[in-house]
Amino acid sequence: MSSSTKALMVRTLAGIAVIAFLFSAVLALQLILTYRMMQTEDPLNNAIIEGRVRQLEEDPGNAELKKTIRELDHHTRSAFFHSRQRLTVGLKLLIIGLGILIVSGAAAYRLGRKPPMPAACAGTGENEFREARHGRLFVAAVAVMFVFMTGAIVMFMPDGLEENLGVKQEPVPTDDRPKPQPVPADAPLPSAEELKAQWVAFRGWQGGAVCTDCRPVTECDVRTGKNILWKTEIPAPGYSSPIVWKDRVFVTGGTAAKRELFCFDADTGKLRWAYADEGGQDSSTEALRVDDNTGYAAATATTDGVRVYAVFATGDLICCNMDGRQVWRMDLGVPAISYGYSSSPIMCGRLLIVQFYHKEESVIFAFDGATGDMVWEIDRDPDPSWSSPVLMSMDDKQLLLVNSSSDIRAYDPQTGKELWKNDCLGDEVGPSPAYSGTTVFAAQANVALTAINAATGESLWDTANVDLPDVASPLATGKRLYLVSSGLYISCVNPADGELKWEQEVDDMCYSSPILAGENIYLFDMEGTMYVFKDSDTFTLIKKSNLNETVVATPAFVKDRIYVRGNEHLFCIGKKN
Amino acid sequence: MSKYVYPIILLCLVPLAWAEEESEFKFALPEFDTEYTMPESQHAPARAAVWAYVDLGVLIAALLLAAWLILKVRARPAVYGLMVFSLLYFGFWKEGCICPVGSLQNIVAALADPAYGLPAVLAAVFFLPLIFTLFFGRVFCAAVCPLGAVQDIVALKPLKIPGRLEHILGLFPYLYLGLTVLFAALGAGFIICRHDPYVTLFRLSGGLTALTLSVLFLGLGVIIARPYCRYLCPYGALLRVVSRFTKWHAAITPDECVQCRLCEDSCPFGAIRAPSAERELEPRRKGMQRIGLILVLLPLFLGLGAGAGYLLHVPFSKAHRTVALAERVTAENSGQVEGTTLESDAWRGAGESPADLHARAQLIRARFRIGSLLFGLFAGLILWGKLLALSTERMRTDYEPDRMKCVSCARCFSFCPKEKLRRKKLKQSPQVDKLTSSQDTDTEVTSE
Repeated sequence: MSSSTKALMVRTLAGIAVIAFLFSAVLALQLILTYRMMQTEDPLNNAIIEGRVRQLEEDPGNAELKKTIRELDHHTRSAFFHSRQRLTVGLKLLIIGLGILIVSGAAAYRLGRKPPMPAACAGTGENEFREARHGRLFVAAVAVMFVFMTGAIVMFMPDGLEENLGVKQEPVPTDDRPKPQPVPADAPLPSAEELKAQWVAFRGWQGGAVCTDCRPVTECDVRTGKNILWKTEIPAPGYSSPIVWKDRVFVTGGTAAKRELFCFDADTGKLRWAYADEGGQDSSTEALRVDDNTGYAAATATTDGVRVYAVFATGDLICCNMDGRQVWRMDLGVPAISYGYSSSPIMCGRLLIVQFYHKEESVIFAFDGATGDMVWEIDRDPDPSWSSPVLMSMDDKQLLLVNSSSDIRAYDPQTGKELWKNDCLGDEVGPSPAYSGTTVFAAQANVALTAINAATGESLWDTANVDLPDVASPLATGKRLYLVSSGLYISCVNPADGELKWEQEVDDMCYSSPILAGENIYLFDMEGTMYVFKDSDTFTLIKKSNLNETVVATPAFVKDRIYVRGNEHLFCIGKKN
Repeated sequence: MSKYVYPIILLCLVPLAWAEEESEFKFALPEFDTEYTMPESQHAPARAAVWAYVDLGVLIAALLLAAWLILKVRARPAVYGLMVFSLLYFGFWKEGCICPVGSLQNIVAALADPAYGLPAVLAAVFFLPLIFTLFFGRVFCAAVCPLGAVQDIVALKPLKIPGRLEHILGLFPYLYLGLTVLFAALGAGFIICRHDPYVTLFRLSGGLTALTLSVLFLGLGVIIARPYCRYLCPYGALLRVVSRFTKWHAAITPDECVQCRLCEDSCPFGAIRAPSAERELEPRRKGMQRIGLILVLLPLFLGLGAGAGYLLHVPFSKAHRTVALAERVTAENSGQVEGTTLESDAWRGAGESPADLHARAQLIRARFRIGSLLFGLFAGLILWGKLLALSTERMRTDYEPDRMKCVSCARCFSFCPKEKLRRKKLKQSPQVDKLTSSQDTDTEVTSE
C-alpha cells in the first residue's frame, strides 16, 4: 500500500469516525430528552385527566366531558408510546453509530500508527523500582484513608434500629423528692369497703359502673366555672380514664418516646408526680404503630390502695407506689392488635389481672400485685379483644368475666379455672361485660345483646332489635339495662326479657361508658356534653352541660365529685364549698 | 465541519420520522362500554433445560478456542474475532447471562445456605474459567467474557496509568470481592449483578442511573483500557490469583527475547514487565529491615481492618432488605419520616408484629457483625500483602507479561520481531538478523 493511499484511507476513516461520533452524540442527546419527556407523559398519572375525572364524578351525565377525557387519554397514551418507540429505535441506531465510530476509529488509529520506536536509554526497570517505593507510601495512605472513611460512613449512616432514634427526649427533671421507703410486699391492703368507696379501676369498683353512694352535681359550666372545682392540663395524650384513691387522681398518657403515669392532687388538680417509662430492653419500645384513636395509653390504670398499676400499648406493665416510685415493671411483649391495645387491668384482692388478647396470643395473666410474680395464666387460641375484664360477686364467690371476639367466658379469679363460656359474641369486640343480680350481659354491634345465667353460662335471651354498642360498655342498674351505640342512641332495655323500654338520640357519638351515680345516669358524648338522666322507664333528662372539649374516657365518681378526662385537660366537677 | 451538519441532521430525523409513523394510532380511542372480553392470560413456557447445556457447551468451546488462538495461533485478529462473537452471544444474545462473574455469588450463597439451590451448570460456569486459567492463563478474560470484550473493543486511545496509581487501583477488585462474598453469604443481594455497568447495554433497557453508569464506563473505557476488569471485577481478582500458577501462560515472544524493547509500550493494561534495571542493588540488610518492619505491621493491619470492619457492620447491614425494612418501620412509627413505602405497607398488611420484625433484623445484624469483622480482616490482609509485595523485588532478564495483570489479549505478539519472523511477515536481511540476535535497538524495523 502506497503512503498516499494509506493517508487517504486514514483521512476517510477518521472522517467517518467524526460523523459517527457527532451522529451518536446528537442521537444520545435526543434520547435523553425523549426519556425525560416520557417521565412527564405518564398516562396513568396525568393531572389534567385526573382533574376531568373528578369533574365527571360530580357530573356523571356530562357526555361532552366524557368525550374530552377519552380524547385526552388517547392523546397522552399516544404521546407516551410515540416516545417509547423513539427510544427503542434510537437506542438501536445509537449502537450502530457507536459501532461505526469504534470500527472506523480503530482502523484509522491502526493505519496511522507509527511503528514503535523505543527511546535510546533503557530504564523501565529503574522506574518500576521507584514506583514500587512510591506504591508502598500509597498503600499506607490507602490504609489510613480506609480507617477514616469507615469513621465517616459510620457517622453518616447511623443505626436506624436503635431505640428512640431521633426522637427528641424531653429533659427529665431532677428528682429531689426524698427517697421513700419501699412498700413491703406484705403490706396490708385496704378493705373492700374502702376500695368500693373510691374509683379504683375502669368503670369503678369491679368494673360495675355503679356508685350508689355518690351524689354528684348534675350540671356544670366551664365558661362561668360553675361546679368546676379545677381544670388541669394533662402533659401527655391518652384515652385512658381517671382512677381515684383518696387525695390522688391517676391518669396515663403516652407517646412513642415514653409512657407516663400521672398523679394529680384530687383537691387542687396540681400534678404531684409523673412516672415516665421509656421501655424495657426486650420489646416494649420497639417499632409499633398505634391508631390515632387509640394511642399509646388507652388502658386505664388500676390500684389496690397501696400501689398503682398501668399497662400501655407497647406491652409495658408498670407498678408504682403512691409516691411514683417504680415497684416493678414487666414487658409483656408488643401486642399485635389493630387500632392498638386498650384493655384495662383490674385488681382482685392481691391479684392484678391483665387481659392480654391480640392476634398472636390471648393470655390472661394474674400477677401478685406486690411482687409482679405470676400466680396463674390462661393461654387460649388467639382471639383479639379490646374490652376489659370485670369482676362479679355472686353469693359467696367471684367471677371474672372476659369478652373476646367470639365469646364471653367466666373464670375463677383466684385460680384461673374456666367456669363457663357462651359463644354469643363476634366481630371486633370493644364493650366490656355488664351484670346485675345473677345475670351477665354481653353486647356487641352487628351481633346481639345476650343475657346469660351467671351460674351456668346459659343464654337467657338475646336480641338484635336494639341499637348495639361497639365501644361504650353497657350499664346494668338492676331494673334496667342501658346501651349506648355509636349511632347516637341511648337504649333502655328490660333486663328480664330484652324488650326495649325507650331510646333517645344524643348529639354526638359516645365512646365514654354510662355510669350510675346515685339515682342518675351520667353519660358524656364526644363533644364533651354531659347528659344526666334518671334511671327510669322513660327518658327523663335532668341536665345537659358541656365541657367544650372532646371526651372519650369514662369519668370517675367519688362521693360528690366527678373526674373527667378530656382530650387535653383533667376536670374535677363538684359543688364548691 | 459545516458540510457534515446537514447529513447529520437528516440522519437523525429519518429514524424519528419512522418511529412516528410506526406508532401512529397504535392504540385506538378507549371505549368504556364495549362487549370486549379480556383474553386469558398467556404464559411463556419455561426455557428448556437443554439450552443451559448448550450455553455451557458454547462456553467450553469458546474457552478451548481462545486457549488455542492465544497459545498456538498467537493471532490477535482471531482473538478479536472470538471476542466479538462472545460479545454478541454471551452479551447481546444471552443478555449477560450465563455469567461466570456473577456466578461467584451463587456459589457463595450456596455455601452459606445449604437450602440454596445451585444447578450443576452454574457451578461448571463458575469453575471452568478458573480451571482454564490454571492451565492457559486468563483466556476467559481475553476473548470469552462479554464484559471484557465490550471494554476491549472501545479501548481506542488508552492512556498509560502510572505504576503507583495502578498499585492502588489494583486493590479494589479484592475489596469488591470481599464485599461480594459478605453480601451474598448474608443474603443482602448480589451486588455484582446489581451494579453491572454493561448489562444495560446488553439488554437495551434499564433505569437512568444504570444507563448513566454504562455510558460512564464505556466513555472511560476509551481512554482507560478495561477499567472494570482491572479495577473492579471481583471474579477477575480470583483469576489473577489463579493466573500466578498458570502452567502454560502466553509469552510475548515465541522464541528467545532479544530485548529489542519494541513491545515495551504495546500493552494498554501495563502488564509487561521490563527486565530488571542494571543498577546497584540496595544493600541486603536494608531490604531485610524493610520486610521485617512490614512483618511487624501485620497485627496492626489486621487489628485496624477488623476494627473498621466491625464498625461497618451497621452500614453494611442496611443493604439487607429486612434490616432496611425494620429501620424504615421504626422511622415511620417514631414519626421521623412521613408517609409509607410499598415495602412497609406490604409488611403491615402481612400482620407481623414490630417486635418480630425487629428481632429478625437484629439477628441479621448479628451475622453482619461477624461477617463485617471477617471482611475487615481480609481487607487488612490485602493491604498488608500489597505492601509486602511492593517490598520484594524479583530479578528479570527478559520482557515478560505480568501473569496476574495480563489478560492474554495477544496485542503484544505482533510487536515482537521474532513473532513476525515466525509468521513470515519480516524479510530476512542483515538488519533483521542484527535486530533479532542482539540488543541494539537503534535500527528501525519495517514491516511488510
